[in-house]
Amino acid sequence: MKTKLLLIASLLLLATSLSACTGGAVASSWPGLTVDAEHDTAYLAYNQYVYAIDLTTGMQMWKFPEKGKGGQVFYAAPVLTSDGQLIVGSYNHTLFSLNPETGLANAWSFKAKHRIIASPLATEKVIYAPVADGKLFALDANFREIWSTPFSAKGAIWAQPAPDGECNCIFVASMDHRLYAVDTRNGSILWDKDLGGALVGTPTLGPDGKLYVGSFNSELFTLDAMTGNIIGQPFKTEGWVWAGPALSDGHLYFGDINGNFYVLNTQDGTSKTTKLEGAILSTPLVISDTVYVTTGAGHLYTMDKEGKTIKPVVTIKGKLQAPPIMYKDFILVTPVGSDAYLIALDANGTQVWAFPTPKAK
Amino acid sequence: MWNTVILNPMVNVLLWIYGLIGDFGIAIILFTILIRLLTQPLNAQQMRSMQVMQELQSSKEWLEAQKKYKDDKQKLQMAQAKLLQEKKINPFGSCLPLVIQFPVIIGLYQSLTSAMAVTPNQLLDLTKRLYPFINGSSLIPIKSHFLWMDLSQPERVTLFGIGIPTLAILVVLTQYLQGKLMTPTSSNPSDQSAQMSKMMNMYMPLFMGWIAYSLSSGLALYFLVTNIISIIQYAAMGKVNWRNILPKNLLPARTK
Repeated sequence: MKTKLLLIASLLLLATSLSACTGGAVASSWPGLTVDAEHDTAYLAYNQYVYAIDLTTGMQMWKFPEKGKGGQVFYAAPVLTSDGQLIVGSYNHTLFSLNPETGLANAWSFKAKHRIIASPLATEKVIYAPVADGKLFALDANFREIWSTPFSAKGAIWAQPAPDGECNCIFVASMDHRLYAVDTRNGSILWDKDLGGALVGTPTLGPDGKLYVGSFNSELFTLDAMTGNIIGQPFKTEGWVWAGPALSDGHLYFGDINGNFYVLNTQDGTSKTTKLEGAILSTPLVISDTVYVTTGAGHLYTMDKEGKTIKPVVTIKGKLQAPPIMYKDFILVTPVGSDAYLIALDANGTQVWAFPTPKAK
Repeated sequence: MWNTVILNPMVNVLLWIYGLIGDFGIAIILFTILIRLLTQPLNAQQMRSMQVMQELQSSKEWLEAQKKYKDDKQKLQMAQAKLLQEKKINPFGSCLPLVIQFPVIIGLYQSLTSAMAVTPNQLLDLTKRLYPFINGSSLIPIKSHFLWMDLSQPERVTLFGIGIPTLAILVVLTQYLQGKLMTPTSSNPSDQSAQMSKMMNMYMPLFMGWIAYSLSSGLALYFLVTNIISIIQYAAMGKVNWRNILPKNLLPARTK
C-alpha cells in the first residue's frame, strides 16, 4: 500500500511539474484595446474576459463572459462595426459578436479551426477574420461566409489585414514570410511577395500608393501596393520588426525588439535611430507633432517627430507591449504584469485613473 | 539557472537540428535519440541496478528468507533489508536514474513548446533564448506539420467524425510493452520489488497516455520514440525479457 502511494505521489509530482510548465495560467499575449470615443467607452480584451470600461471614470461597465472558461482567452483588440456589433476573437477558435452596450453575446458566432490571434478587419459590409492556421475568412454581418473558399496563406496570420478601398483589395501579412494582396470580391491572390522573414505587424498604406511593412528579417520594406514590387532597398534594422510602422508627414515611425526606435524619411531615405529601454512591439502613436512609444520595460516615451524625447519617460510597473491610444487629453496604456489592466495618463504622464486587475481590487 | 543550464541549450540544439533537417518531426526524433545517448550512462546504471536486484532475488539467501518468513511480512522485510545492506545494494538504485530524468522530460517539454512558439508571448520568449549562431529569422515560424499531425496541437485522427488519439494509444502500448520486456521475471511475485514493477507497468502507461492525449503531439512523439529506442537498446544488450509477452509455445525450451 505504501509503495502504491509512493508511486502515485511520484506520478502526481511529475504531472504537476508538467502542468506548471505548460504555462496554462500565464497570459499568452498582451491586451487588446479599442476605444469608442463617441460613447466614452473602452473595450479591453485580456485573458478570459472582454471588459467594457467607462473612460470618464475608469469603472467597469460589463465583462464578457460572466464567468471565464479555461481555453477561451481573448487578446486581439475587439473591433466595432458600423452596424453596432463588437467583434472579438478568442484562442478557442471562436469569433464572437457582442452587444457593445450590454456585453451580451449575439446569437451568431463563427467557429474557425485554429486560434484567433489577430483582430478582424471590419469594413462597411464585410468582416475579414484572420486565423492562426493561415486562413482569412470574409463574413457578412451575421458571420456567414461570403467567399466560396477562404484565402489561405502558408503560415499563421497574426496581423490585422490592412484595407485599400481603391483597389478592391486588402493586404495580409503572414508568418510564412509573405505579404499578400487579396481580392476582396473572392479571396483570390492578386499578388504576393516573399520578404524573407515572418510578418506579424499590419502593413501601413501611404497616400502615394506605397505599402510599408517590417519583418523578422530585421528589415522594413517599401512596396508598390498595386503590383507588390519592392521599391528601393529595404531599410535594415538591428532587431526584428514586430509591429507595423506609423506614417505621418512622409515619415515612418517604428521600432524593433531590441528597443531601437527609428524615424525614416520616406522621401530621401534619411533616418535617425534612438535606443530605448525595452522591446518595441507596437505601432507608435503620432498625434500632431508628438510621437508616443511604449516598450516592454514599462516605459512610455513622448518624443518629437525627429525622435528626440521631449518629456520625462513615464514608467509603469509591468510591460507595455500594446500600442498607446489617445482619448481626449489622455493617453491610455495597457500594462502586463501590473496592478491595473488599463491606465489613463494625463499630458504630464500622471495617472488619472486605473482599471485594476481582479487581484488588485 | 534552469534556463541557462537546461532549457536554452535544449531549445537551441533542437532548432539547430531543425535548421539542418527542415522537418520538425524528424528534428524531434533526432533530438530524442541525442538525449537518449546523453542519458545512456544513467540508463545503464538503472539496468545494472535492476540486474543486481534480479540476481539477489534469485539467490539462495533471498529465497530462503521468503520461505522462512512467508507468514510474517515484517520479519521478511527486515531480513530482506539486512541482505540488501550486507550486499551493499541500494533498493532505489533502479529508480534514482528515472527520477533524475524527470528534469529532462520537463526541459524537453518546455523546449518543444518554446520552439514551436504558437502564441505571441511564446514567440517573444523564444527570441530571448536564441544563441547567436541560430538564424531565428529564417527558421521562424517552425513548420509544425509532420505526417498527419500538427505538432503544436494534441494529435487526433478523425474517423467517422470521431477524433481518435492514435499517438496516445501508441504511447500507451509501447510504454506497456517496454515495461513488460524490461521487467525481470520474479521468483516470488508477492515480494515488494515485483509488486512495484507490476504497479509501474500498470500505472505508467496510463499516465504517459494521458499526457500524450492532453498535450501537444510533439511531446507525444518524443515519448513514443523514447519507448521504441529503450526497447531496441535493451534488446541489443540482450536484457529484454521476452517471456513476459510471448506465448509459452513460442519460447525456447529452458535447459535444465
